[in-house]
Formats: sequence, C-alpha cells, structure tokens
Amino acid sequence: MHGRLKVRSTQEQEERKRLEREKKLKAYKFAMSECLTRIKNKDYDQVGLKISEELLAANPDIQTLWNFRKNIIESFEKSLNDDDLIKQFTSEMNLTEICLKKNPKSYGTWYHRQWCLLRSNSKNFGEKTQQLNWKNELGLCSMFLDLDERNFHCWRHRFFVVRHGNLSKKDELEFTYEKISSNFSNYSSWHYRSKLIEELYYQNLIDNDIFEKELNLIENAIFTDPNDQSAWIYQKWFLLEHQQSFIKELILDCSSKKLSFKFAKDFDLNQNLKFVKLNNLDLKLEENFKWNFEGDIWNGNLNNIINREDVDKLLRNLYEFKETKIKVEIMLNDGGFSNQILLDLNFESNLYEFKSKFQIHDLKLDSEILNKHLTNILELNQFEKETSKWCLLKSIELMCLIDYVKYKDKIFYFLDKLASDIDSFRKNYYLDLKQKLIANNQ
Amino acid sequence: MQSNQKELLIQKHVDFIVNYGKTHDQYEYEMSDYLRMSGLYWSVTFLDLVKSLDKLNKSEIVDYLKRNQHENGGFSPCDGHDPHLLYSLSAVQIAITYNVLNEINSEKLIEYISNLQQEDGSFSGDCWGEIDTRFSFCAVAALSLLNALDRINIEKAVTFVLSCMNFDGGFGCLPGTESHAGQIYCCVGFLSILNRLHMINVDLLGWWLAERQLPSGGLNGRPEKLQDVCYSWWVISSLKIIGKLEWINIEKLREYIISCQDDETGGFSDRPGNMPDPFHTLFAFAGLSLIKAFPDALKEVNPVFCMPQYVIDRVKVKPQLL
Ligand SMILES: [Zn+2]
Repeated sequence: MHGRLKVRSTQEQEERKRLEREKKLKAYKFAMSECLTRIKNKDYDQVGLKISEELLAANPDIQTLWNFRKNIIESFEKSLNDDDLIKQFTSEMNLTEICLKKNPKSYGTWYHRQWCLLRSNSKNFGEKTQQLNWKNELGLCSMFLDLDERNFHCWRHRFFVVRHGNLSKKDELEFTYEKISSNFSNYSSWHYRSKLIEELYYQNLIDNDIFEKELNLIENAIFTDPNDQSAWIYQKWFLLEHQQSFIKELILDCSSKKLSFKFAKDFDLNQNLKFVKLNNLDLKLEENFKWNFEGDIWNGNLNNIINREDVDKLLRNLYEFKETKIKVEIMLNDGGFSNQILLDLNFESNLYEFKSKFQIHDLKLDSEILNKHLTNILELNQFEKETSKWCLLKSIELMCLIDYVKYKDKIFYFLDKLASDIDSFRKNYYLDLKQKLIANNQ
Repeated sequence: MQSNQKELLIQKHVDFIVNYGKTHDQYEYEMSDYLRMSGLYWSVTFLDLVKSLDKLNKSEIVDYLKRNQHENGGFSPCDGHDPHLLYSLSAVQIAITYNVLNEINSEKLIEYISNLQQEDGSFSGDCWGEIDTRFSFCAVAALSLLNALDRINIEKAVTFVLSCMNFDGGFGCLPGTESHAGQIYCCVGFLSILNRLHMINVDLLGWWLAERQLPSGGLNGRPEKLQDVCYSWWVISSLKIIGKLEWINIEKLREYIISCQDDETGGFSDRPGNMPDPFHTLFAFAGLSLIKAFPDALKEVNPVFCMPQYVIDRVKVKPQLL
C-alpha cells in the first residue's frame, strides 16, 4: 500500500463505508468464484471474458484473471476469423488502458498489453488496425509519461514497443531531449538517453561532437537547478565513459596468460601503471616485470608475477565455470580514480575482450572541453558560496580526472568540507574516498 | 496518530499482524488474496524476527502451503489461482522458516523453477513469459534454499543479470531499463547467492545507494523520488551486502523508520501519517534489525533472504557478503 493517507472519519461515515464495502466484497467474491470455476474447467468463452473484465477493471492486479483471458484468446485463435480476432485484441487494448488508468503501475496489466501486441502483430494485425500498431502505441506511452514521467513500467513498455516495432532510435533520442528540456529533473529520461547514445554512437548514427553537446545539455540543467540529482548523475556516466575511452581495447587471453591494452594516447605503461586487478585480485608484478609494446599494443605475461598461483586459480575457475565476464580494474598514473571494466568472453576466440564505447578523436580539443566544464562548475560553486554539495563533489571528480596532482589540495579541501559540513549524512563515503585517493596515488 | 518518540511498540505491531484481516481491514485483506502467499511470508518473517512466531497457527499454515502447490510444482498465492515464481519463493521461505520442507514436494518445485529458465539465462515469472530480474532472484533464492542450484545454467543466469547493469552501477528489470532500488536488491542478492559480487563496481553502486538517503533520514528508491520504509530496506540490505552500510546516516534512518510507526493501530506505513500494512511492517522491522537498532528485542535478519539469520544458518546457506 503506497501513499494512502490515513483519514479520520465519523462513526456514521465509517458505518456507511463498511456497508458499501461489504456489498462490494460480496460481489467480488461471487464473480471471482465464478471465474475460478471456469478456469478449473477450462471454460474458455465470452462469458468468462465478460466476468473477468469487470473484476479486472476494479482490481487490475489479479494476475490469474489476465492468464485466464490469455487462455481464452488462445482458444479463440483456433476458431475465430481474423476480423473477429482483431476485434478481440482491440478490446484487450481498451481494457488494459482502462486498468492502467486505475493503476499505472500494474505489472500484470502492462504485460498483458505486451503479450497482446506481440501476439496480434505476429499476424500483422497492427498494419490493419490502428490500436494494434506499434507506432500508435508510442502515443499511449507518451500519455502515461505525461501523467507520471518517472513511471518505470511505462518506460519499460516504451523500450519494448521501440524494440519490437523496430522504431527509430533517433526519434527516441529527440523524445528524451524534449522530455529533459521541459523538466530537467527527469532521471528516467537521462537514463534512456545514455542507452540511446551508446547504441546510436556504436552504429555511427550520431556526430562526433556528442561529447561537447551533452556537456552543454548537462550544464544547462545544473545551472537551472544545482540541487537536482538527475543531471549530475548523468554527468557521472558521461565522465566515466569518457575516462574509460582512453582504454581503446583490453584483452585477456587465459590460455597463453596474456593481458593486453591498447590506449588512445601515447604513454609508457611501464612508467604509468599503478595497479591492475582481475576480479579484485591484485596482480603483484615481479620487480623485473616488463610490459612489451608491440605495434600499438601493450602486452603483459601473467607468468611473471609474484602471486602467480592465485592468478592461475582464478583463470582456472573462469574456464571451469565458463564465466562469461571478468572485471579488470586498472589504475594509471594520470588520474585520481581507477577504471573498472567488465570484459566479455568471446566464444569464438575464447578471449575476454573489451572495446571502449566512445572514441576520442582530438585529444587537445577534448581536454579543452573538459577544462572548460570544470571552470564552469567551479564558477557555479563560487556562486553557490561553496554550499552546493553537487558542485563540490563534481568538481572533485573532474579535478581527479583532469589533473589529480595539480588539484590535490583543492580536492582534499572540498572532500573535508563535504564530510564535515555540507553532506555529513554521507561523511564516511567522503572519508573512504579520501583514503582511496591517497592509497591509489602513492 | 504517529509516533515521534523512540519507543518501539512491538506488542501493538504483533497484534496488528496477527489480527490483520479480521477487523476493520477485512476488505483490504480479502481484496488482496491474489498475493496472499507473500502476505503470509511477511507475517511469518516479521513474527519470527520479534520472537512471536508462536502467535500463528503452524498447522493451518502448513495446510495452506500444501493446498497451494500445483501439479507442476509451483505455488499459487491462494486457492484456485495460478502458480507463479513470486509465490513459490514465498512458499519456500515459509516452509524453511517453519522447518517443514518435507511437507511440500521439493523435487516438483525444483523442476518447476528450473523449467522457467529461458535460453538467454533469464527467468520467466510463470508459463506466460514475463521476464524480469526479480524472477532471476526468486529462482536462485528458492533453489539455494532447496540446495538445488545445480539444476539451472548458472553462467547464463549471471550473464543475463549482468546485462541489466547500468552506468550508475545499479540494475533494472530488463536490459536497458532504469536502475531501481528494489531491482538492485534482487540483482545484488542474486550475485551474492552465486558468489559473484566481484562483478559489481562497489564504489559506484554504493555511492548511488547512499544518495538515496533524504534529509528526513528515510531512503527513496530512485533519484528525486519520495522516501519510503520499504525502499529503506531494499537500499540498506544492498549496502550491507556490498559492505558499505556505513556510507549512510544510520541514526537518522532509525528515526525515520520509527516515525512511520502507527501507535494507534500498530503496523508501519510507507511514510508518516499513511495507512499501515503488513508489507511495510516487515520491511520496517527487517531494517531495524539490520542496523541493530533494538538488538535485544529483534532477531538478526539476513540481508539477502530477508529471513531470520538463524534460519539461514540452519539450512547452511552462505550468501557472499563483502
Ligand atoms: Zn513502500
């Protein structure tokens, strides 16, 4: 039971309510037992549809009744002609819409709608009938998102419709832009945007200046309301991806025990690697351990490490349990934070692989954009008189990303401020972060 | 109407749960029969945590369990309804708590659950094909309690759940969907049971979860949403599993949970001043137990299964905790 205010009522009101409920309950029980008998006897006909419709309109969460209707429709599919079937599917769409208006968070109702859409479109009914058409269904999604723009059931339905209807992702990206522009405090839209950008970028369907554009959008949002979390968390995604994109490729070959990196910038891994961990296991490199630079790839032989036995055991387990992912954590000299990357098993090559989602095309321009973003946030921070938690925290993250050594004092000053004063609820998070920064950058 | 004092009215809450559905809330109770098995799990677990399990009639409950196991092995929420993974987990949790696993047909149940695994490793909630990471949790939680994890394809199950991981370190119900504290609890619990917590970016997820705490001390389930007692549980149990419970203000959380106590009727609501119900009552107490707020009055709770720790110890299940 969510968000139901407890109200005081007079004895008379109570009594009236009681009688009314007694009546409703009696009707409910009678209709329900009628349905359950029909379910038991596999009586799949119009009468069952009629009784269950009334029950569901009053209480859309009764999963068993949705199942009952699915069974009836499946039996109709064997006997009815297409026109009558279309009528039936259309009436399911009407009923689920009524039910969703009553409870927009009813799992069973949303799923019944999806089941009907899939089922009817497998017979291409969506081409003949507006109400069963994928594109038309986006209208329903938009309507329910207008009522509650954070309804995750409806967002989920939207993904489903876009996927199965094969609808344009670019249009969806534009939709998230409209949503965000009308209200920046819409984490659901930001989230969706992150997924769409990844996918469209991968298919070469968005321009390379996406990095700059998104930072502008984020700045618009945070300058409008610096205390709203939504855009700040999205910014975290963006910067994490950005940080990761310096690692173009990462490959673990379990059989030859070789770990390989390909970077987006020139630097000497032998000079710049602080640590590397496989599934949280720290690789203790031998004193004379060398990363070999071959072509544009850095290769390391995992036989030349001190805790070789632990690593062997880990690799054996990966193989034995056919684990499809491994986490590599790598800490480089140039930033405050480590990278945590999940590698996927490539079943054909039998290698664990990672390729960065984004590519950095112009390192100089890239660093200018990042520095400008930091300047803007530091300005906002000044404007807020250093009392905005998010400005402080995000400046810290940016400074770590850009030049930890240069900004070290300021980073620690901000962290202490957050821990002791601005955001003391999460004091221990900031203290741990400080410890981690110190340990990572020794 | 609501209490701001720090006193916890345990006896009142016990009465609220034991009498739920018998008095003025009969309507709510009867109209929610479609989730009765879970309701039973909330009541049983709550009463065990507050050392009052003897207030329920065990043999009636055992009969109820038996009556609701279907031929295919799955459990329905109540008489005549269809079986579903959600109620099958609730049924196993009740049977394990009462130590009466021998009263149900475990082998059939194991078969039912493992048959719901799909080609991509995900689990369907029932024979109608709805997929959700909640169901992945239900399946492995139930199978681990039944000591039958070897009956599913674990690697595929893990791969599917990890495909629902998001940039904020959290998890959604399906690949691509938004992170949500309830879903995070399911996925973190799932990885804990299968010993795969190392796949999680603990710093990132722990931070996102800690950001759920609002000035009231209560926690929400997603950014910019309202606080709620049940979300407090989903968030803090996840934090506990990944070893970052100290990243929030425990004292403030304790105050918030207690402010949701209804000291007239007993029971807890989602927010102060709302209607209490058994669901929020269990998660309020599970939360209080997890943060060790009333260690003398409450038994220890297991963060993964939301069951008393002694029960989990008895069946020798050891979910991973960081
Ligand atoms: Zn709640």
